[in-house]
Amino acid sequence: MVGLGLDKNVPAALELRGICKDFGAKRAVAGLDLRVAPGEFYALLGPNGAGKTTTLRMAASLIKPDSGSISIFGVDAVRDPIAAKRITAWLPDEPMLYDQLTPLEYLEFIAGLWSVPARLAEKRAAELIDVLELGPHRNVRCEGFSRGMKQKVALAGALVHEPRLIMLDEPLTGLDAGIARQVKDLLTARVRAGATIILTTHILEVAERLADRIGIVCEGRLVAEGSMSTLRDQFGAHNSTLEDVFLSLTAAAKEAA
Amino acid sequence: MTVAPGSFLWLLAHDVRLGTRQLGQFMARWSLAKRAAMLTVGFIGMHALAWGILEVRDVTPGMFSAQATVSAVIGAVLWMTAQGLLGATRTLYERGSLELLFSSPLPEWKSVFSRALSIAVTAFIALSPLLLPLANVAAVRENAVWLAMYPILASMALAGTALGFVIAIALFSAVGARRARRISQFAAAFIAGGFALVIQLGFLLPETAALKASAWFAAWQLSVSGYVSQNYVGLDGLAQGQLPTLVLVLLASVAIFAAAVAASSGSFARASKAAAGNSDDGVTGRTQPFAFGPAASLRRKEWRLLTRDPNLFAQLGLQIIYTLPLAVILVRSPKEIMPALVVTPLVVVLAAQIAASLAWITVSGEDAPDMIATAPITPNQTGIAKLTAIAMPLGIILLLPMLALMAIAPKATLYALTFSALAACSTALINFWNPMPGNRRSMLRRHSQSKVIAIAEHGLATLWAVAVVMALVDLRLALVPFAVIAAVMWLLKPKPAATRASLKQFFLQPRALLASASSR
Repeated sequence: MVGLGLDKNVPAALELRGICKDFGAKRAVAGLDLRVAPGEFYALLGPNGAGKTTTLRMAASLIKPDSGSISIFGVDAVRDPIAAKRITAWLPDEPMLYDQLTPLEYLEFIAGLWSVPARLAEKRAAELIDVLELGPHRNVRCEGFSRGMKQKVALAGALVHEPRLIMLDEPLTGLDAGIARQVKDLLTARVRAGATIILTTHILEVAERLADRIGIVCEGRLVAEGSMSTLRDQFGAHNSTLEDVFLSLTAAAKEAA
Repeated sequence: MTVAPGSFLWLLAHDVRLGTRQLGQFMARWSLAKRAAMLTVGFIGMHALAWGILEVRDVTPGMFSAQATVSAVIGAVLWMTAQGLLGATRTLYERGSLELLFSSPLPEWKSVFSRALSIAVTAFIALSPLLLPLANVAAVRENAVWLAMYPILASMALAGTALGFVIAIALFSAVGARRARRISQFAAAFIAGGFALVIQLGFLLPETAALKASAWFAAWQLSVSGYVSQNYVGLDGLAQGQLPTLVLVLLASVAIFAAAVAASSGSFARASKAAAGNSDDGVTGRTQPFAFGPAASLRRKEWRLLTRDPNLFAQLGLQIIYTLPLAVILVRSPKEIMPALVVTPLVVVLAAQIAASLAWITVSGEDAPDMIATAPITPNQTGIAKLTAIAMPLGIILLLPMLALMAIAPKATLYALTFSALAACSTALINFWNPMPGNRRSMLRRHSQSKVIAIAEHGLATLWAVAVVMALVDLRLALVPFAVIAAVMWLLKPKPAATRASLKQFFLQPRALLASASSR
């Protein structure tokens, strides 16, 4: 899997070229280039305010870049966002749920939005509810759910239409060990089944253990990229941890800025 | 003056700050200078209005009878009770609202007492801009005794909040968390609308029964006020602003408030904890197969959320009840043209207002806008699906007045249907074009988000009402309001940036625009 992101002959699952985004006087993303190969598990790391979430929100067609191009499996996401959205899923850090809908109704709604045939959607919803152990709560409204439960329902929603590219913003924050394991297992299974996953996280151990490649963003730019061993070789001592590499790279990038 | 952290006054200041910020939400983005300027303008404006009213209608102390005082007090206490009930319910169910305070080393009674008093203070502040300018102006023009309005209003706020608190706790204990929430929101809406409904009862009853009821009510008022004035407070004295009576009323209200909150503070604390962690409710048996396609899914989702929204349900229920007297007037009316001319515009206004509320709920009150934005559908498709979703509840609400109108005036029904549909589309569209993201629970406070949209909604509803009356008389006459409506809609429709800039320049700097045109 490693190295696919650099193969220019394979249409990238996500390709960002020179994207920029300003919010007033603040430059959130400054000419960022990124290429993620199909079937890859990619982790985007960076300090708070580095531009990770803004980058993924642009890739999810939630906001338009001020300049640059975004391509998802060869589809120009800026010119044809609807076609790009058909094959992508976006899961923000705060689960977007309807308190007055049950998990099953929520999955039905999402499947409808992505025009998944009703029977197929019911089958997939049942599978996801089973895998994520939501069965006892399938017909209970989400309003009283814990954060972990809500995150599981939202994740099921992101997967029910079987997207080719799944983008997740801090999917494991605030989850207990059991739920976090369920989520990690499910994501790994999706990558094995051929899906591409890009996630942002502050839990470096997650990136280290799950990701094929890791990108480090700072001040709106990609300052380093590669597998864990590549990063270690290029930027740290042989026995350094991802935390060491991350801290030294972000400190250097901040100094340079 | 500094207040010791953790003291009752410190807590009260914190709670009142939260309450007043919620009231003044529409000013949140304004600068301090703009806020001060607008408040000054509002203060002067309300006093000028009060001056105008008193210029037309002279007042003297004691001009109101004891009966009128009883009616006014009942009306205001009903409104304050509704505020108290809503405030207590909101506090009970907002997770984290009291949890932080209960987890601190402060005694629980202090937190509950402070929250209750802040609800009363907020209710006082909410009603004071309407009543106190009248009192101030009357005090300057006639007699300082009119300043008695201040302690009277404070007394009513305390008594009403106490009653609301007790009702909320009683409901919670009697029927459980989920039902109590729904019932209390219904009850608050009905209590607040109670006075309006009582007034409309006269229209519902046959003439002889209405006369009898009126006589009975007058006698009841007289006996109540007479009994109270002879035995307890002296309502005549209250009507005349006598100091001993005022002090007595204020002390009684404070005592009622203190007793009610003290008696219910323990239950309130327990109920608040139970409501915040309440997760075993809301089981919904699902029997329907999955819907297919974005439009069907969006519509089904909106219907589910609408039917499961107790607050909205209470408001719509009230709208339905308010239409009952209209329907009865129609049935009892001997002539065709008069009820048609009176009732048709009312139905049109109702359609416009309800459509606006529902459109705001579905568009601006969307709980997961980002998730829908990532779906492979265009914003227009989303909007159309949402707007068609509100057609069904709107149709259900309007069914009763439409059927009644059809029985009496079939031609007017056709006009009512057409104009209601157009009015509903127009107010729904301006909400679709100008989304103002907010929590769907804040539906009643949505007009504080944008005064322009609030005025436009009311203006369009009125214009459509005028148009339907004119159309009933002569269709050609309706062209004038049609033209105004079209202009309003055009102004509110989103425009490309270049057009917006030109319009802004035209309205804000017409001279510069003319100069640049002439130089070309």
